[in-house]
Amino acid sequence: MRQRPILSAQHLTLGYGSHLVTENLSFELFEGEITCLMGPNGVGKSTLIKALIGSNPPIKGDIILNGKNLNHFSRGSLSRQLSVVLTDRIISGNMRVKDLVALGRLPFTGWWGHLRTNDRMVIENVLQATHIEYIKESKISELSDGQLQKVMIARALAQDGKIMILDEPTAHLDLINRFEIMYLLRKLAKESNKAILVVTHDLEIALETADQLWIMSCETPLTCGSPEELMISGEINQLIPGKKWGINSNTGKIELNLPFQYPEVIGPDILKIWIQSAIKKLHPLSLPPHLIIKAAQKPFSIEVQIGSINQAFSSLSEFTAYLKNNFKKNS
Amino acid sequence: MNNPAKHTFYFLIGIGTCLIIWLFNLGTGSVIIPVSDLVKRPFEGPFPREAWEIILMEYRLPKSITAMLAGIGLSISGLQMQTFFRNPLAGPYVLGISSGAGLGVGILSMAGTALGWQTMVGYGAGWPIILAASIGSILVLLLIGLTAWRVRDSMTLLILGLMFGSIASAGLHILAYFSEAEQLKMFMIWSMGSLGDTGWDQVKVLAVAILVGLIPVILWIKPFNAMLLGENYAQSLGVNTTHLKWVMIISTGILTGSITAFCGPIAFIGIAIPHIARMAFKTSDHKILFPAVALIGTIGVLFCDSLSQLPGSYQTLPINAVTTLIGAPVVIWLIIKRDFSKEF
Amino acid sequence: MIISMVSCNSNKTQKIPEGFREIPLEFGQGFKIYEKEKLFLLEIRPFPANDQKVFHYLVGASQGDFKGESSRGYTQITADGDAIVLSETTQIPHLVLLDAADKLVAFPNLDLISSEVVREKINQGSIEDLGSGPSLNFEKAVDLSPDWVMVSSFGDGLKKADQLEKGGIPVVINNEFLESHPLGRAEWIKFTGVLLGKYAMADSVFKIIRDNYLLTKKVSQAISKEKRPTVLSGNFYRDIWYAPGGNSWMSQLILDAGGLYVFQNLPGRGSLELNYEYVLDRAKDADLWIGASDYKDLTSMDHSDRRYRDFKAFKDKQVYTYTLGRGEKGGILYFEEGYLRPDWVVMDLLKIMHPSLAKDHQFHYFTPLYE
Repeated sequence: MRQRPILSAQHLTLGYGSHLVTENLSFELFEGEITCLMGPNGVGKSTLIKALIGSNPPIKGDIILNGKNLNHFSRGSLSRQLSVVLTDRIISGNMRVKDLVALGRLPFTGWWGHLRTNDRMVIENVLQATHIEYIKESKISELSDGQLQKVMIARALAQDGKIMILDEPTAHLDLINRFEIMYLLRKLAKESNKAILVVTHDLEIALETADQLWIMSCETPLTCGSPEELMISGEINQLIPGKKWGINSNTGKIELNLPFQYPEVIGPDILKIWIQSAIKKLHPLSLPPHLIIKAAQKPFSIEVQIGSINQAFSSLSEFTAYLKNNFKKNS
Repeated sequence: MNNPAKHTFYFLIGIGTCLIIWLFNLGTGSVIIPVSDLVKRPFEGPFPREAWEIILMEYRLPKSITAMLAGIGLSISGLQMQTFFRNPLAGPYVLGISSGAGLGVGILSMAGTALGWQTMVGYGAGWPIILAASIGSILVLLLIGLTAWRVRDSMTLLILGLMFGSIASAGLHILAYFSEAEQLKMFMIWSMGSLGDTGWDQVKVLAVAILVGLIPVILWIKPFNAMLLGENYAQSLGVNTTHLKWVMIISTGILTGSITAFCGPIAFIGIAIPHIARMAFKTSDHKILFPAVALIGTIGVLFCDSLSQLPGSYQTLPINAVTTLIGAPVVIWLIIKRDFSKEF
Repeated sequence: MIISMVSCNSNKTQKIPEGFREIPLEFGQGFKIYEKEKLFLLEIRPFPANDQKVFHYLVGASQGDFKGESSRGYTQITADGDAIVLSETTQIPHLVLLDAADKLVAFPNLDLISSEVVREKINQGSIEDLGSGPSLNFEKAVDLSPDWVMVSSFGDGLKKADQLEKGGIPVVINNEFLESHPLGRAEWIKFTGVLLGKYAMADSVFKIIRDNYLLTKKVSQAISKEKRPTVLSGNFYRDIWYAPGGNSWMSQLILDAGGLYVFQNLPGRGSLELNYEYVLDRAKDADLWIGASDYKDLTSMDHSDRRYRDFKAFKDKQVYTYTLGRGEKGGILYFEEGYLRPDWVVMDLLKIMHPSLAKDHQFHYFTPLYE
């Protein structure tokens, strides 16, 4: 049995004024977990985020934070419970990293914003936790995108709330930084027992790091579950509207749903996967249903049984060229 | 590196510069009063030359205090607007706030003539004119706010400001067309700006108005730092941005309005000084920036006023022309040379 | 029929047109009068500081007088017309003194006119208002098709003139305001006289004014420098002090009335813009303050700018304004008539500066301010 959710809602209706965006949303957010909110553009993710941070209250239904209706929180007390990392551009390039992180302590300071010992300790801690101590004197304008994102996370951490909401924190980052950020968040969720909600389009990373997925789609308002559950049940496919694309339940990758069968490749794991991937790109060919890798040596050389023929190749491109020439469709 | 110590050092340099420029400002004009005599004045009593005494006590002293108040008010308005609109090119003059104040004064003076009050002239008439100018400024700010609140693009905001400024100026021109020659002339002179028209009575009124305009800024100084991250982040930090919006509008309206009412439009101080302060103090912390901007604004307007007096001649240049000649190149240089995101 | 063409000859060293004889002027610098049988030729000459064209007007008593005379491209004007339009109040007293007020058919902003004779005609409804805007209503002026329109070249006057010319209306330029000698300015009545076919009358009117003026001047010339009071003039608009320049009409009048004008040494025919410090330094101890705007009393003056208190003349209650004579609609008579009657102005000033020398004189324009 899991603990009580820190944030939950039943049958929410969201929208702006009289304009409905989405209805019948129910969800629970738990401490110590990373939850990834996914869904196609325009389905109402931002509207949901705005509702959660209190800037656009739901039209119908209540959001319950720590057992209390979110509407009953003042801005100040909400800011001590919940912090955000948004996609808004930071234009104050003149600001130093430590000053930006220190802004996270704003809800705890007096009118002049003086930092007390405790505030300084929190700042030191989050600088360490996010591994950005070494750039604390740098100006914002001097940071790389990945560093800036860590700084913004540190700032949100300094706010010391139970909940942190991040809107596409990995959007403009390179491959390695995307993983770094997500693993950092994962670590924070586990070590500091935070409830972290990440809006992302990055399926691969979400599957890898999330404890929970919230999937919003046009048909069903919001589906919750662990990535694994959703994968097995196939509900993960709600992420992809229409029939053209699908999620491969073996690999977790998005693939074209094609009306025909690829030949099955039999052989050692790595070769099997990548030769299959290469064959897909050769489409359309008329190949026998099985390709069996008989022998393989390093550096690359393979012997493949194609239907009834055995053939040796000294490179992958030699192999694909052979297939192209000999198994053309309608030839 | 120790920032607080560095900032204290800069503030001391600033205060020193300010004192020197102030003495220079008090000493020069058509009539030169040597600094040595000036310094002795507080200890040895009135000058033997009565003209010096009157010039210093009745003209230059109130003028220099007006210059300081104008420098403080305009630069703080500029800083507030730049932070709030997150736009480095925002300022009371370029966004047409001064024109709005002008329109307010114009309408008051027209109504005044119709009802038989003396509004444009007269030492007694301080508050009505401040009120009218402030309302004019606030109206323009509201219009900009309604249309451009979410405009992040500097140029769009500037163009909108230009448009509202033009509308206010057009209103002024129509008023001027219907006013009599005497009033028209008054208006022409008013629009050139002047610091020397404020006697002690008006300086007192202006000082109170500036103080009233500064109070909201001092009370809300912390939220201004949060606004550096934008409205959404500020909200997430517990800042009531709607309140802050009103703080900015009312404070800027009162500051720009009262200064414009008494001194006419003074261009480019509001936009240029905050940039100079950011560059000099290398910070974006408003607890440092607000006092820094006030200090540099004081120095800037005192300096421009000293220039406008054309020491030794019997004529005075309009202060607005001098601030434009000095301020506009600063802004042009900023636009061409600087990547704003690095300096804001 | 009138051929309307302005000669645009910018050649300033022009010779007298053939067959014409110059009627010399005594003080006027801005125009010349030539005569040939029944014809007059008026020439508007540019002042040195004022790079203007030369204008010529050929004036005949009637259309027949132009027979056999080449127009030379000059504007031809017949003096027997009965419909003229003026554009400045200073031109009004010319008509009054020349007994030709009947000919005025229109004027921009009738409320500005103070002359009793003309006001009566206005009240009878026989003079059209050409609008109260800064420029006279072009369409109405063309519609009236007057014999000629007199326009001052002040401001955008020449542009106005050009527009009217294109509308087929003969325009005469009046540069009277550029004359710095009071008698030079008054001598322009001869110019108007020619246009109205009343040169002889204008000449005799001018002689009276001149003689009066010179008489006063002769009296004042005898006053030694020590007995001459120092005179301040002008007032603040915000923090700029506007005062007549050292070469101006007023400056000359103060001198001729036996005073010492404090800004005598500052060049300028028109208005000076001075800063407060300079004025205070120079004029703090001036004995008299003549021409302090149109304040109604010392209290309201003090109320409008406390710095006035710094001046000795103010403290001594020696402040004079030119607001004594006012027209029916509140216009100040001095501004309308004073330029043509420097003899009266100089007498007023003499009475202010040296009361004992003008005991019997009654103020025409000036009045001391009381509390």
